[in-house]
Amino acid sequence: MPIDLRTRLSHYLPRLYGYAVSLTRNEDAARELVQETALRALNARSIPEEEPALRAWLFTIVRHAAIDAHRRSKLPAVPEPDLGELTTLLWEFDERYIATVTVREGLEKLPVEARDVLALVDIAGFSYAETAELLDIPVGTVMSRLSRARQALLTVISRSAIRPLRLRRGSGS
Amino acid sequence: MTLDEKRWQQVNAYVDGELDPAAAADVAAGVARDRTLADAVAAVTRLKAVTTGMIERPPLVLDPLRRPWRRAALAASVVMGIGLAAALVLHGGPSDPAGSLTRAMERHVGWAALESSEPGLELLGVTLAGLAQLGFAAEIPDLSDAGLVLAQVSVVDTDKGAAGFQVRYLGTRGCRVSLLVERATGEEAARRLDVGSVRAASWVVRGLRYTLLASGMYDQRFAAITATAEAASRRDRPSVDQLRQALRDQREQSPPCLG
Repeated sequence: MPIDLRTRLSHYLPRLYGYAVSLTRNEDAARELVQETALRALNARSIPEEEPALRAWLFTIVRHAAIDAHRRSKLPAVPEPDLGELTTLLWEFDERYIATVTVREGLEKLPVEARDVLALVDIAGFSYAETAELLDIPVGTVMSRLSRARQALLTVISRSAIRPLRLRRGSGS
Repeated sequence: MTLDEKRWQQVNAYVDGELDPAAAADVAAGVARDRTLADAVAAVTRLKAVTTGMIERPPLVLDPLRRPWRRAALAASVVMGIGLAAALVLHGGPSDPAGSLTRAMERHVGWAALESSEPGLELLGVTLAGLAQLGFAAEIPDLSDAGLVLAQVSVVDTDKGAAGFQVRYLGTRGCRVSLLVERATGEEAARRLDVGSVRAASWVVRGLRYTLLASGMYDQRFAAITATAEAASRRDRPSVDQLRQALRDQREQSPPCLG
């Protein structure tokens, strides 16, 4: 049974780690969170038998641990970015700007609530219904929270996309 | 052209496969006749693909892409001076520490001395593709709070022919900052080197050596930028956030970059 549980756990580790990175924005802290979660699962008297329940259980442990760690750190919350209007300007810029480098940079500028729902759907792979259950909110709220998070992410990317500049030397502000 | 909030939510749910068949068919039909809707679906699809795939990146595998560095003749005399001076003023490193720092200085000075566009300036798309191929395990810090804008990222030959990144930032008051990222051969102590008006700092994180350079920059401002870049290289986002104010303060308190 322990070997079986390890196998089951190993299947989730990459996405648990990705989720933890999204919440903490710190890869070392994320590794610790996943390690802590894995140890807790391996030492638990009973764990969910069904895979969907096990997955939700594991991600809930990581989520609660990340929230606790954030509270202990007393770091200021990332402010809500201004949402760009839902105009073509938001998605008409060169699609190459939506790349790993810009998305990672953009994610870091989103508040934790936005990163949370994005990570649960896109990184952890939960459905809207599963995400709603995990966050204890209605499905409609997941839908609106997620669409606003992606709107914010596109806004950040469109405003700060890395662009090649002509190199110029001179005075300025 | 705009989308209302409800349509935007539908676009997201469509991409996530969360719409019922009738609603999904409605969006699909809209995509066929509405360019705005089609572009929005394409953007969300790409965003989701990148977000989904970004965490499970392979470890750093250096790309065979190599590009010869076009050294500016204008900077040749300065570079020679750096080579001589480095041997005298270097401190805090192992027995042969001058090599990587002075080579990085050569690159930096060569670039910073350019008055206008550089013939070798690479297109962003090419650069991003190269970074993606490299797994992007290296961290490129956001220095916008220091008034520095990312101007160029290129793949360059580094020590012993291995590929690395050269990242260049431009300030609005004459500041030029370079960050060279290359593979380190082992553990190294953090190093600082000042030669004339050029400041350099290097450190190693997770097998990569980061070398930050600036010309004519006020020392405390350079220290704040170095601390930020170092925290970013450790992927320590909370520390990076805490340093943002220091970057802004130092920029306000520092004179323009000279030299």
